[in-house]
Amino acid sequence: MTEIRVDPTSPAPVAAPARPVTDGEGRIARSVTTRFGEVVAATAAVSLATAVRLWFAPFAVGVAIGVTTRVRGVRSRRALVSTIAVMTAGWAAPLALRALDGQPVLAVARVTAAFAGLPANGWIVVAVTLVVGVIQGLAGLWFGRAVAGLFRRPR
Amino acid sequence: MRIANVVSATIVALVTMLFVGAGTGTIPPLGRVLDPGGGVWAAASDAVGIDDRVLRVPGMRQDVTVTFDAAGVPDVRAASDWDLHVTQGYLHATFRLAQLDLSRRTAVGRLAELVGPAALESDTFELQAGLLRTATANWAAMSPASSEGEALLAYSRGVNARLAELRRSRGWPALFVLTGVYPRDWTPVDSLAVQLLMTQNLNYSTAPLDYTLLRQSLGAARAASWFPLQPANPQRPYDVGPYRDLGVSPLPPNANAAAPGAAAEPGDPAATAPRAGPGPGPATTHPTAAGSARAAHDIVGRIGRLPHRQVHFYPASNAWAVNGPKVAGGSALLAADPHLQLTLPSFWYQAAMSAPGTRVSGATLVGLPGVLVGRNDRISWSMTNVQNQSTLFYAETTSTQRPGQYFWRGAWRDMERVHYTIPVRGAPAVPLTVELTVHGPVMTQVGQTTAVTWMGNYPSQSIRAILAVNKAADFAGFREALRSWHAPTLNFVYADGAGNIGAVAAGAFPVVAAGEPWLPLPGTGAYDVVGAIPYDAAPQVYNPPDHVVVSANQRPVAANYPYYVGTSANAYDEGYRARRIHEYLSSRPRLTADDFVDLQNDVTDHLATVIVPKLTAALRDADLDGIERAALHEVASWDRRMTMSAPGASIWWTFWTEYLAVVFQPWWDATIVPVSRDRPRLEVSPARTSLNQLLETWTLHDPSNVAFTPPGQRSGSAATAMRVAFQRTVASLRRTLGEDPAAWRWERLHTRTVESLAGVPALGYGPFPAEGDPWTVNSAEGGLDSSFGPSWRMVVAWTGPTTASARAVYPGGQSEDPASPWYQSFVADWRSGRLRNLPMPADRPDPAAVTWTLRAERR
Repeated sequence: MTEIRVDPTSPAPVAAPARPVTDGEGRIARSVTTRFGEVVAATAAVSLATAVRLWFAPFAVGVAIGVTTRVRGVRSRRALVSTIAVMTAGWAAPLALRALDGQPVLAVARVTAAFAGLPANGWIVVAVTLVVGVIQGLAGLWFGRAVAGLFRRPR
Repeated sequence: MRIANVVSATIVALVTMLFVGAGTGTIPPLGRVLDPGGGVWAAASDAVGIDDRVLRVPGMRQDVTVTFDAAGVPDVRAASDWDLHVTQGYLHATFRLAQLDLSRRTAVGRLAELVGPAALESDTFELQAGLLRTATANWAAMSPASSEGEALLAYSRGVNARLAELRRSRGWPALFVLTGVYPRDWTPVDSLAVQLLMTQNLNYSTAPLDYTLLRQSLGAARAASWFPLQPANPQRPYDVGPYRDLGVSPLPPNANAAAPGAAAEPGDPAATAPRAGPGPGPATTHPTAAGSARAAHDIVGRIGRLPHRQVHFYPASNAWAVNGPKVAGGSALLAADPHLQLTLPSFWYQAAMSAPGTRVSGATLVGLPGVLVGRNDRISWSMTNVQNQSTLFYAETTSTQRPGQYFWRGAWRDMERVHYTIPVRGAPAVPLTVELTVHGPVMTQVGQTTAVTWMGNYPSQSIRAILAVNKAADFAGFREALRSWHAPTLNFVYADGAGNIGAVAAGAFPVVAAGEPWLPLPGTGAYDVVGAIPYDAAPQVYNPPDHVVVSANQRPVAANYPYYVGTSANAYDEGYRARRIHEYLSSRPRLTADDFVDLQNDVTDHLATVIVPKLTAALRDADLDGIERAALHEVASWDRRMTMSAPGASIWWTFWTEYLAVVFQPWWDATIVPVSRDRPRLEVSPARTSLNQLLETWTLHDPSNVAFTPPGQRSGSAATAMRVAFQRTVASLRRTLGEDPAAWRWERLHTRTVESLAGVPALGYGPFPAEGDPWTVNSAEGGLDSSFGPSWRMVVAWTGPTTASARAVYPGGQSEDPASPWYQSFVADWRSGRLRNLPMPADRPDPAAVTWTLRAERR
């Protein structure tokens, strides 16, 4: 039997460099905290953009989400859900802040609905507002993923 | 596959972003419009209310302080009239911008640019009617250094200061954000055009054309008898004479007519004889009854499709004053309630304003400087519509051999042509050519080339007049200020702190050289307008011996007045409100402000007081069933007040409608009156003043009149007609309100609505059950769902030369923003008949009030 002798004076063996954890299909796994943080950051970007009236920010952030998720190999369904969440929250937050500030958001929405020939229900306009943000985001998501997919090496 | 994916994604992205960024057709760019940081949501921050602010307003010369009460009524303190009017423009633009722009667009024919093809007919009419041409001419003739010119320039500066703010902040009202069509800068021409639009609302009438259609159907004799020059029933004019015939005063040139110019070619239209036999018709079209009728058909049909606030529709307004022994503890009392269409926002914006030489409080008209109805330190005033004829129609002689020409004063002359391009949102622009003759714009060439002379197209210094009234200190000054007022003709009613009362009908009453102006006149030159009734001969009164002045749109003068002022087919009121007001004022020895408020809310129907006894007498021996007897009991025991809970009110109103139909409809049917061409002005209904007056008179004094026996029917009388009408009434109410007459409350039939000025029903108020009818002092005009009525109520009680208490209210609020707490904040008070305090400008600002300091820009 071969004896394995450890020289007490030699340095401890160095662990091999850590390799990213991947799932069974080779996609990089990220922690829940990290994913949540990214969603919050994207939402904040969309919300903050409204302060400077960048109405197209949902599209731009959607493109960024699309590129990022495609490069990282994130499934399209997860990217879709994330995008919807980001855009909905991203445009809902400024409206909520207005309401908390005492501004008559629902009243303004009701007036807008009336002028638009819709039933005079403010929630309709609030819903349409969020949908418009989401649609922009989804268009950006698809575009971003499609463009990023051109450059991704096939597995 | 990847390439195809990229291409697809790119296309979808482009289409999506183009759609949300630029919109399509009438769909706005939803991305911009609904962006939570701006778009429609920006208005939410303004709708919260206002707080103390310091604002830089370009155009101001010195600082101005504006304090707002809890309802948003401003108290403006300025160092000059210029700064006062800049501030007024700024306030109107801050709180009523969409209203300003809509009014302007309507007046100048640019409404379709904002709302699309639905407004094309309105734009076409307004460009033909020529408000923009007249406003432009008025401004060109006005000195910018005059009081009027300065006021208009200052007002424009104020509006434009607010527009500049909005362009920077992009906090536009929703109407502009949704349409993507934003207002351009305001000019004095715009104010003058808005003023003309109000004039048009008050006196642009098609009465001569409607009369033509009635005459063609009913026959000349019957039309003259049933729509006479003088009303059939008793009247209470406020000017009982003696009258003076002072000849005719000249008028300035009509700004909306072709200059006579050089004759294109002398000629005699009679030399172009009609061709005999088959083939094309006569080359020259001379005025004929048939041609006039066809022209009338065309014009009234088109005008009938316009919104009611663009042409004159209903008699409008009450104003009365008492003095001397009629006043309890004071010197004079004034009550005012001008009737207009009730809208949100209202035509009125309340304000108190002061500058050296000016201290005034009351109702301002959005779009114009000054206070139109209100009071100053020494006098108070209001107005009612005179209702005289202010439109004359001319049948021009034309020839197919002379296209573009008409015959006038012995020669063929070229029509003047004005070309327009009407922009239409979501559709191609539409070209329009308007032809003008010396009489005015050609309104139709169907059947008969017909031009219209409208008194609003003669230059009027109305702004100057109102600004002078704001500063007047007594009746002499008040009356002199109104000398320059031309249109519309209004009865200005007055009371002052020295205990004087009066009224004067200011404006241009047209006088023609010859002919019957209540019909279309030949345009040959022999029947033209040659001037107006001199101001000193116009209806007026000062301190009448009975200490009462009442104007409620009744004829202001008696039958022996030496000038023509219109027929009963014009919009003079039947006289029922005037009679009720007189009755009330006469029944109380010493009146108070509270009495005046009660009278403004009075709903006694004078016609019912005289007719219901005749009805009950006619039914005394009639064979009635149980429900009919119960209905008769209700109306017989009714107190003649159109209150909401009164079944008698429902029975009375329905009965009178049926009674008119029983008597007149057979004649209408037999002679085929073309009601469909202008239903509101031609159908048999309680809206026909002449028919109400006739039926009242016949019922009371001529119950066997031949009118009760229509062609082909058995001999009738007032009694037989009333019995038939009553039975129809009961049958109708049974169908709509059930089998129990005691449950036929008036509120189940009658409502009021304060309509949205933008035409958005959800942004209006109502309909809500309401008392009153068109003939009660608390007037409700416009059908069973009334949207016309007291647009402003005011009572001023003078107790000394410079001391008075004043109250007022209007059915609306200071803000046009439906999300604002000031949108309809006064409606509840108005609806309940309560008036709010109408303060004069305060000597010192209330430190607790919200204050704006408007700073002049420092160089």
